[in-house]
Amino acid sequence: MECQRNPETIAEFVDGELGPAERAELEAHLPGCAPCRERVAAERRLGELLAALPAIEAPGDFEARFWARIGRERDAAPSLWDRLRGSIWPRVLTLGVAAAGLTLLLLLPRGGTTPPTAALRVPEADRPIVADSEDFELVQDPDMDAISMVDVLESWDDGSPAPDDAPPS
Amino acid sequence: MLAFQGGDRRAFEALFARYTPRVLTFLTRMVRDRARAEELTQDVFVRIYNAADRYEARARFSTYVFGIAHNLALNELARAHRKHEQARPDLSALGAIDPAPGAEEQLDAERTRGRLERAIAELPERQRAAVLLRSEQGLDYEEIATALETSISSVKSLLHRARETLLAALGKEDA
Repeated sequence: MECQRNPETIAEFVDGELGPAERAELEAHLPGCAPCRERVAAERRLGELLAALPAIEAPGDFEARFWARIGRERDAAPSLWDRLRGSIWPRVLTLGVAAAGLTLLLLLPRGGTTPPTAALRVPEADRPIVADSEDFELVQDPDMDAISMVDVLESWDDGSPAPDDAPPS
Repeated sequence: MLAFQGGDRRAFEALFARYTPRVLTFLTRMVRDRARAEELTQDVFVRIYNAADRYEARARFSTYVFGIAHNLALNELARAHRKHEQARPDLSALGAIDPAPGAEEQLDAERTRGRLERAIAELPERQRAAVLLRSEQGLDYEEIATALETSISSVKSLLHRARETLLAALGKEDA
């Protein structure tokens, strides 16, 4: 009569993988169950046959070949300087670009009130004071077309609709 | 391995001497090609050597070694399969049979061993790996699961199916 016990449990028993309670339960079961005893015997026999299979010995020069290969791979590998050179220059370039950008940012005007060339300008205190508007002299006739556009540009800056965008009246 | 991480080359040499026959035996039975198994065994130790600084002792060293060996074996078998060069079972590489003349018991033992080796060679790859790691290399279920990157219940199933096949092969020819 076949036993309904899971054969994996027998294998775990033979492999010493069962917990103490399961092991004790199976040990109590075995004396009264011939199929399970046969299965245990077959598993043990198979285990012995597998364990008795001959090991494969490495040839005598196996370790020497290994170290020779390690040496070859080390010689073929890029040197520390090559690796650093390969990895440093892109980083130096990136850092340089970043530093230049940062410098530019620091030189840019705060709040948009100072023109970018502020550092090159003569300080207000050193400039000659214009005493009279008559000191100015127009060097050419005013460009009235350009002046007429000033209003348009100012209205765009205000966010108000440009004349072309205005709804037809 | 930790000693080797600390710069002790002799520690690596000791590991190499201890594990080479085990890894070579496992790989020879996995890929069924002695020459290729030797190359793969070299690959296993080259990887261990080169990755020593990244090694973390989270499991037994044998688990680590056989995990690498198993992956290399599967890659090799897949490569051979892709190239339609499935390695022919090279059972002569699995150990010389030198029965003593006239010793019938020994001849029987050698025949049984030959049948067993043929049956192992014909097992599906993962079943073969599981049964070799358990019965030949002495790894427990948890270690096999780690090496094969699977669960313990899967290991139980792999071992059960492998043993069913091996027992059937031995029983069939005994009959």
